Amino acid sequence: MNDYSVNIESLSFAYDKRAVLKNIHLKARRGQVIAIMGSSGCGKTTLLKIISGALRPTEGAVHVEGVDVGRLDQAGIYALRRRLGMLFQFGALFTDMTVYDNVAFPMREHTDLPEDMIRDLVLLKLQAVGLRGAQHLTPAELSGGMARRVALARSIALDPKLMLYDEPFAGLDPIALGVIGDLIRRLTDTLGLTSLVVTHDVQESLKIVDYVYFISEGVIVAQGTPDEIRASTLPYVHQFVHGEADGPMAFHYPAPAYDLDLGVQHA
Amino acid sequence: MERTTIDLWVGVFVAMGIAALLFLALKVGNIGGFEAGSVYTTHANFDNIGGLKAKAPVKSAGVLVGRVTEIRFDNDSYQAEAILSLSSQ
Amino acid sequence: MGVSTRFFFLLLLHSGTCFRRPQLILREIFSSGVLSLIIILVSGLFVGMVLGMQGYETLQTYGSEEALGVLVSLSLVRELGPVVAALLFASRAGSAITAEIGLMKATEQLAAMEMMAVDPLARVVAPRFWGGVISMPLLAAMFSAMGIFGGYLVGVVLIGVDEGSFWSQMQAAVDIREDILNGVIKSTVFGIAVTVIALFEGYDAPPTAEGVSRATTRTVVTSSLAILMLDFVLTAFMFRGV
Ligand SMILES: Nc1ncnc2c1ncn2[C@@H]1O[C@H](COP(=O)(O)OP(=O)(O)O)[C@@H](O)[C@H]1O
Ligand SMILES: [Mg+2]
Repeated sequence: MNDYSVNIESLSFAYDKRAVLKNIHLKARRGQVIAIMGSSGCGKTTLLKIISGALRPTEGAVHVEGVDVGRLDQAGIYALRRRLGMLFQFGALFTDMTVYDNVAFPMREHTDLPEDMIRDLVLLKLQAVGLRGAQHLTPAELSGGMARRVALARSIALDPKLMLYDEPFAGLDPIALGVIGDLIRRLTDTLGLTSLVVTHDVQESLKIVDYVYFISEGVIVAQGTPDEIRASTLPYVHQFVHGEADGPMAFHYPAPAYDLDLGVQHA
Repeated sequence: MERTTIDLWVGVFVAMGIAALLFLALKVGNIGGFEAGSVYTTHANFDNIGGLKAKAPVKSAGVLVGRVTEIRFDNDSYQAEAILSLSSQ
Repeated sequence: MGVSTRFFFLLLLHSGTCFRRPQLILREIFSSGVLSLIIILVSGLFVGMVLGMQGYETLQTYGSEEALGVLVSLSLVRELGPVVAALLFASRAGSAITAEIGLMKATEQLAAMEMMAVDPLARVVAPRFWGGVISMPLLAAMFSAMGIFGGYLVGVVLIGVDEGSFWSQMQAAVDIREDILNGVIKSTVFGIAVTVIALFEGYDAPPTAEGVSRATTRTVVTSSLAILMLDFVLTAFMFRGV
């Protein structure tokens, strides 16, 4: 039990009546990097929101760091979040603060550390992501990859036990992408974290993760180690790994027959 | 923006606002007039007060000496009675 | 309406943090108050000068030009100061508040804050509220003072109304409680209305470019209407039967 940072059992979730996640079982062992893959709209962000307590499960149990998230009140959720870090898709840096103040923000909000100690910690975190030199820049002056690294430094500011990454690779050039991938792996190993990476970037994530879950339409359709995934013959996984346009994941959004839509069958 | 710059500007801003309020209270309004000093109350009866209202100025030789504090109907004389509060000087 | 009232009480409930850290409120007094200074001072001056000119034209037909000070000061202190300053405040500071909060929401900054276990209502919304509520009466007072100075410039310096009677008639007619204090109360109420509307619109805006731009427009329109309607209600209560 205590072996797992995240332990999800029979989780189902629906927005109003629309089922988004169905009967999900997912475990993340401490120190692992886990990837959750699936195409856009399959419910990956929703899953992260449930893990972080922003949404409550409709059914099932979600244990994070040993506590049942679904049963926590607001204070309990805030207490849990101090041990979580989350990297948002576009970084979500505070645009009215410098890089330095962004990283210092969680420390200033949650600790009474003197300013010179905060300074040492901020520089340490920025050094870890290679951006100590950028401390005086504002978020507007950063490239997409740099912004995400600063956001990463900010999310590890209070030494979380579990890191959640929402599409950390989206919209990055191949070099920045490799840098972020390396960082996720390295921080997980050196800081003793557990990392949950939500992504649709198969190639990059297969390089760095320990275990992969595939979600399609709210259901886990495949799981395994990167090697198992690469060798998988499941049509869905094959399509995803090899980036084919059509397959079990249809290219066409469900629509009436084309000729009907064009009005060919006018009587 | 530097924290000290902000503090400085906010200080200037609040000082200006308070100065404006003081200007309104002291120079524009009538604080420190007879209301703040000693006053005595008297009353005057009229058959018809016309448009006289409470807080109307009472002048003697054109100089403000007090204000009408209240207007009521005098049941004994069947007249309007104005209560005046006049400066003691 | 009901939702924004609920929002208002939530906001008061979450004000503890910024009272413990006044630096947060100071920042917002800077962005709502200090940055509105120029427009308030300049507008006040010109409104007062126009009042001086128009008032003189009207009063002199009745041979009572010395009452110019009364006319200028009462118009400003009772009505124009609080109302025009609040309208300017709504378009200068209110719109900025809505746009800023709307963008913070659209770029997930508020969500990120919540993920760091920091409540955006306490950290972002409440300080802006108090900053606006403190700034508004000060701005209105500066507007009125500037306007009276403008009326003085045109009436006394330019046209040549007797300076002594300009001030003394003004002092005789303007009551500290009835006029000045009520003006301050009005502008405080307007300050509360404008900041609550601006904050609510920003917090409630759909997280898109279009959503934020619409919310910003709505802030200016809604708070202008609110100012004018509240002004009628407050005036009816304050000056009725005086
Ligand atoms: N607040 C919401 N209310 C209703 N439906 C939502 C909401 N947020 C997301 N959804 C729907 O839930 C599904 C999953 O969304 P999401 O978890 O964001 O997908 P992903 O992150 O995998 O792209 C989508 O079909 C989306 O339309
Ligand atoms: Mg998503």
